[in-house]
Amino acid sequence: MQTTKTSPSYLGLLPYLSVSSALGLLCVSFAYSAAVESYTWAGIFLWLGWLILYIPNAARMLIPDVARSERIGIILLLGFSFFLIKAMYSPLEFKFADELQHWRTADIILQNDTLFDENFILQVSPYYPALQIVTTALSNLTGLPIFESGMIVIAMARIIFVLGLYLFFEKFSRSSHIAGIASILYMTNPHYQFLNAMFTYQAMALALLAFALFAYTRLLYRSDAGHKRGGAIVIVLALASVTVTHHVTSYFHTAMLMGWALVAIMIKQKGQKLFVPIGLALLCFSFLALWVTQVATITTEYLGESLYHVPNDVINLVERIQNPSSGGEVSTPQIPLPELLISMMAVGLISLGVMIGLFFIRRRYRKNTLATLMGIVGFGYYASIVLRFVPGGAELTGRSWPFLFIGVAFTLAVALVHLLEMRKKVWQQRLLYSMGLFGLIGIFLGSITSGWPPYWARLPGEYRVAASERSVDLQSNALGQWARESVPERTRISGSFTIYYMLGSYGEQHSVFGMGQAITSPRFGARERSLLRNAQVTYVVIDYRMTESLPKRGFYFDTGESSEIRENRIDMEALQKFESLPQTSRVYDSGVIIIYDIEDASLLP
Amino acid sequence: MAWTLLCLGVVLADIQNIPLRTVLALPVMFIFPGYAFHTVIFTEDRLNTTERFAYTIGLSFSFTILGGFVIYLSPWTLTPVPWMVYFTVIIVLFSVIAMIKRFSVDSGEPLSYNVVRNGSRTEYGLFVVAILIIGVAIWGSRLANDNRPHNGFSELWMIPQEEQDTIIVEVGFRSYEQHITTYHIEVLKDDEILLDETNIELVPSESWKVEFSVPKDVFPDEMVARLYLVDEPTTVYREVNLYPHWRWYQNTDEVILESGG
Repeated sequence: MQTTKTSPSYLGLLPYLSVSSALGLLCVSFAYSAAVESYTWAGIFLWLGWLILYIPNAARMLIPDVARSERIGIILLLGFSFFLIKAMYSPLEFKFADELQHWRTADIILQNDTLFDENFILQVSPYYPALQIVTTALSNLTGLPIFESGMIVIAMARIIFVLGLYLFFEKFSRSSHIAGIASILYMTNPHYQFLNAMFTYQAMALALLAFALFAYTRLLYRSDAGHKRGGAIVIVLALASVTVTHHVTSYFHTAMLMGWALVAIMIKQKGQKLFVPIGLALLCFSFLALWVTQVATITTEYLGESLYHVPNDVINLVERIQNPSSGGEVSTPQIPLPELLISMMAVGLISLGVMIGLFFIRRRYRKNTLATLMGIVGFGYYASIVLRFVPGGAELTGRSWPFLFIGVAFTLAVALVHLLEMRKKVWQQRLLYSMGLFGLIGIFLGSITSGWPPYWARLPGEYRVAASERSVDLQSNALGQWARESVPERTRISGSFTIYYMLGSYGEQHSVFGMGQAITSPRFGARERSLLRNAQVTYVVIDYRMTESLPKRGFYFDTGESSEIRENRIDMEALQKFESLPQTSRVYDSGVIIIYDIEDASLLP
Repeated sequence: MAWTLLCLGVVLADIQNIPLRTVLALPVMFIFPGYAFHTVIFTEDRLNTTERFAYTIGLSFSFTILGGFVIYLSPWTLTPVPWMVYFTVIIVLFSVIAMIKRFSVDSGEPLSYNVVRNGSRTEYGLFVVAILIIGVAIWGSRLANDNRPHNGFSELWMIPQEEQDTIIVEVGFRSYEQHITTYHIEVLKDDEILLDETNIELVPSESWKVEFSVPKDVFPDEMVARLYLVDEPTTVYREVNLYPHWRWYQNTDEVILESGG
């Protein structure tokens, strides 16, 4: 027997918001097209597009009396639109270094029809192969190339990410209003628009994490035996999927479940089944331990490098705060002043909002385990601000945002919703609503100014020196294609940062980092020969365009290069030294990119 | 199930029609496994539409990931047929179990809660307009990238491949110029002309190459290739060269490296 119910206006303003969002996307597309043609006013349309996309949806989501179905429609619309913004930036090929790394892993799987084969440009990637498994499965079944298959996979991942997170928030807050606002606040995570929409294992892991969180809460809030058995199977699948997709996400996943278990023990929420969070934490930890110790043993070494210096750097920073005259390096963001002010405003708004949200969580959700946990995670935002100023801390802060913002978004949403409920008079409600909307807009703008790409790469366009995705152009693509077709696979080649990734991915070669000193030195002496010899480099790639300006990203070759190299324009004569080296063949010439075979020259005494 | 079996047939027959395979494969990968499985485990459960959708896609992802490891550990390889067999088996299995469970549920079917609403023409029309605008936006960005302005250029290369007692030298060039370009190439071996060919016309992205097979014991001191544009016959447009590698003569004393640098 089937019951039906007709419900008027369950879509609300969603059809109109769809059109306004589409117009926002059209604006962004126009901005990108204008930027490709080098029109200087393109940036205006980019910002306009973002605002047209975000503001109407945020404004609608703030209103209390909006149907659940409409809220879900809005978050899907907005979440998918942000994915399309990234897709339109590079609609024909992957350009971002992270994507090229994962493209290569997928390429290796397609070529060898097996897993866990080595990828020189991201050695840990083959041991977290879930993204590439799904992508190559699609490629195998459809015949689509990796790029198209990967875009479809990430698009589907974005859908489950948005939906999973919303359902997770809704289940334990029991409010579609809070869940909706939290979902659109999560989209102000500075990595959401680009980094979390790229063809990377983290993008997929976050989606699976959101699905897992939804599955956990659904099990928690259902008491019938039928659901328990089914829910348990789903949870095992979800847990395992996250574990084999991305290392940092799986660590956060485990930490979050452990935190949940601890909070559950402390709070003893009425009706809460303690065995659920405790069991989940133990199961997750077991999966993780098994994977890291038996399969992905390389993970510790890979992540250890990033974390190694942090404790000392934090201690040094604290000492400098206590004793300012001690000097030393503090890391500050290098962005234009207006954007710096917007970023700082956003930090201020979030900091204030989290404080207010924590107040309401303590007052109204103190017996709600997950709400309390979200508050604790949100509180971690303050630690990330401090970490931002530690040398090397910017990267760690960036890595933490996709996870911290799960708590930050919920905490801010609680603050907004309960503030809006506080006043009954119409003018007061409107005032609070306006303030809330402006706050959302401010945080959204800050996510752009603090996020990736940086201001100089926000629009596609002509080649720029050492500018990450803005250095990927027809010349570098042609080089990659040529290397794939004509150079024996896995030849050891060294060049600039962009060349490293192009040749290591599309070119199928064994790219080598760290040869900046040898390439830019005016001499080809014993030290330079030793560097190249020890790295067993066969080919050196010289891109003469590197002499045109200083590196946009702050380095030409890799993050470890000396300040002497990165702070000075590269000397043309230094690059031309390879022309006069004995036994040095010039094997490739495209006018601006020359490749030298220095294998014999590096062996000279 | 019928859709899955159709997709299986297309894959087994190795039909190379990408649009057809894409249309068939997308639901097989992203909808059917998750939908069939959650119907099995939540037969008596009330799920709203959003939850069903989330389970469908999330579980489909999980089963695809699981499938990768299953095939990896099996005697098969990660190729189209094993993948399609895997999806067929799990979809058919879950579908059959779900049907059996559904028919065996007592005293009628469980209540299923549907919200049925007829949308207005305006609302549907607005969605269509939105989709069209988005389509134009995506098409515009692809078009702009396809036609992005660039300075035309050409590549020239000379790459050796060692094969026992012979060196295979590949000399080639590719055009990325803005229009059809006519080239003249000469290849020299110690100043002796090996190849001199002119009026080679290439459209953009087209390439030309030739291979020389040179015994190691008579490999010259230097090979040179020069590329000219027919419109500028006296200007060397691109140039590459090749010296013998010492490792080609590892067991002989035929090459003596000079110190320098």
